[in-house]
Amino acid sequence: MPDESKAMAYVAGVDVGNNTTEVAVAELAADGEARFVASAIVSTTGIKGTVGNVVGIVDVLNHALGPLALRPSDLRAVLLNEAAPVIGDVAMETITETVITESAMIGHNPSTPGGQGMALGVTIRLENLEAVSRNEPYIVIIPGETDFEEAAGLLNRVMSTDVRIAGAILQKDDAVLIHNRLDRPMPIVDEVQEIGRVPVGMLAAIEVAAPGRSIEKLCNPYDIATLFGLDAEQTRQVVPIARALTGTRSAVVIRTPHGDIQTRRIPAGKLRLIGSRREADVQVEEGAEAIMAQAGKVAPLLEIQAERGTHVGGMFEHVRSVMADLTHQAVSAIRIQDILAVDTFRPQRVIGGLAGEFSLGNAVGLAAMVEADKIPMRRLACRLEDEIKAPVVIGGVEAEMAIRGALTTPGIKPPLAILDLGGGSTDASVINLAGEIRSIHLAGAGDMVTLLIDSELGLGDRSLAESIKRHPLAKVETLFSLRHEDGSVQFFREPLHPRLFGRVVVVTDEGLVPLETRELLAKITAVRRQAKQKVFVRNALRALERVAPAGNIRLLNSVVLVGGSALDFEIPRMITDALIDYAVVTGRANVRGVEGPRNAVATGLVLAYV
Amino acid sequence: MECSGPAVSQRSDQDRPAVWILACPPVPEGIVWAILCGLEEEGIPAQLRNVPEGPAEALAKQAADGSPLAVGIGVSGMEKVVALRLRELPSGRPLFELAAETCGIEELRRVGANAARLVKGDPLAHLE
Repeated sequence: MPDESKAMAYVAGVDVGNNTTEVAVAELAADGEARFVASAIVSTTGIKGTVGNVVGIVDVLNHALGPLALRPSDLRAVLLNEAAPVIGDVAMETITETVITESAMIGHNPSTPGGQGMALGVTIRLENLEAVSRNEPYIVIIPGETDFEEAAGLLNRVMSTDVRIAGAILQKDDAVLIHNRLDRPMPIVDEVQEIGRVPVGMLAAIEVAAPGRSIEKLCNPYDIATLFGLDAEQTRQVVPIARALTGTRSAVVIRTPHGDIQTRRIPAGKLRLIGSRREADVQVEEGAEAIMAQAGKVAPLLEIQAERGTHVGGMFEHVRSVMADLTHQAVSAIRIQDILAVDTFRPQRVIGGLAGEFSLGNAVGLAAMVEADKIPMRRLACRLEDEIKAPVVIGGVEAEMAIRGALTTPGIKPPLAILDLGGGSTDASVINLAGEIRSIHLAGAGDMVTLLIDSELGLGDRSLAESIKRHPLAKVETLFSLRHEDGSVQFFREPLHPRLFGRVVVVTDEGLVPLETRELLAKITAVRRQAKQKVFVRNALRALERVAPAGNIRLLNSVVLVGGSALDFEIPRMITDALIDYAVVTGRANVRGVEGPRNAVATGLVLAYV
Repeated sequence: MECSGPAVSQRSDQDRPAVWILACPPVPEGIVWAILCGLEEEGIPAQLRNVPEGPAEALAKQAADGSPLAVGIGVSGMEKVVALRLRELPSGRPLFELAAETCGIEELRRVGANAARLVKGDPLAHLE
């Protein structure tokens, strides 16, 4: 027994990350060489650096050692990374809202409007139609209680008495049914929920475009001016209405005395940016460009503060209190050290809309980050030792271990940078020719990408947004086939579920997930890619510039991507494309030639011990 | 594009692109009417035929097999059941089957609308 244990000692390097806990197990030969024999990965239990991690660590050790017929107690040592905690979080502030006053327009997009063309008339409710006295064209308002056949019959009867009916506005989805029964064609807009609020006795214009096209007149201020006889000042005031109706298949504009559509700013509090020499305040509603510009002027940043009672303020508080708990400090001692602001959109209900109209409100997405030097790991180490009955050693600094592990990737040499694109922060470490290591953490990473996707598609569902981020899309074209976003078609032997029919779906490993949105597949794909571009590509460059020798990315020889996001199906290519001009070899790491972008720190821990 | 006029055609025009509806007596007027309205609003033509007998599912299969648009609806007056299917579905498995007594006009209109959307390739309405 003693001879065998001298020859076959095993050590395990354990990397507890924010999301995953990874292990690398190596056999130590008598001459001190390490031969790696196993690795495993599980989800991290508890917050990184706390005793809650023990469950996950024991689990991952069992996973790796089981096939070798070993137990954790057989290990000569378990090496833990010295966790330098970084906590990041994201929040969104909507900074504009759209309001229609006096019900001046209807701009939703009913799927089956009736008729075609433009018409002008005075609005009148159906029940008052037979008693008209004015000799001008009418636009008839038809509530949902009226049967469509009766409505059509009444319209025909009235039209035969030389009363001119120019168009109709319906509450129910009956435009085609009514139009098919009319003696004369006319444009009809339907699905107007708030039919009772359509102003009566006012001049209105209604336009329905041909299938596949959008309206041409009511989105042009000068055509609106012609229809309603407006002067130059009044024409200027209808510009927002014309803009809001651009691209719609049908539209109604009603000439109410002071009605219009406005985009209002929403106060969203301010940020205080504190640098070593200067301070500056910036209002969140000024937008991300303004925020990042000010942050640049005040750099290097020492601290960022947000106003209480705002979403951003609440998020800052949360991040600080999590870190305070973790490091046993007072919340007041914790400072937010980096932010990333991104301009984005949020579809929101138009206030005062008659038909459930949505418009894109402006929003600012903000990621914040706080880091601490290190946390007392002793409690975790002791608890782990008790649990597994093997010596636990706190290994070196995480960044250093990561670089050691990454250096086992074939084909790289220093000066080397590793980019770890995580959930809460983007991390970069560099080793130069002299063997010196620098590292940096920046706010803005995977969680921010998910937030942007969630917001711009109006999903209100963070886990669905996460799915869209991680997987490609497809369009279900028939009950037996779908077309992937790359254009290829996939057939199924069994019919797909009817709720997938005709929908854009996310192609996950667990199956197809339908999306409710009416957006086209190409649009959703664009939102996904732009979110990754705005966060990861931007932060990759930001981080590399801060750690590269002399701040010059060109002086790097290799850049390797590690961590979960390095496995994403598009991000590595996006970053490679962005770095082409810097003549740097960029790619996913391949730790020990077998692990891909995973297991860098765990491997590094073992190599440092040996 | 011409898709106007009440959608019912009693002419035996086998080739005209239309969704077929086969109904066997005693057919409640309101049920077939609601389905036809759903199809008409979505702009897809329909052809209605009365047949002597048959369960809804078999009628739907016959309708889908005959329809040039490969979509069929079967209405059984006896069972008061409505079934909707596409031609390429395996036998015995219609897409939807509803008990006409328990559903209202809106739901029946939706069956018609969904038949039209199957033809158009659009997402289906309001599935539980």
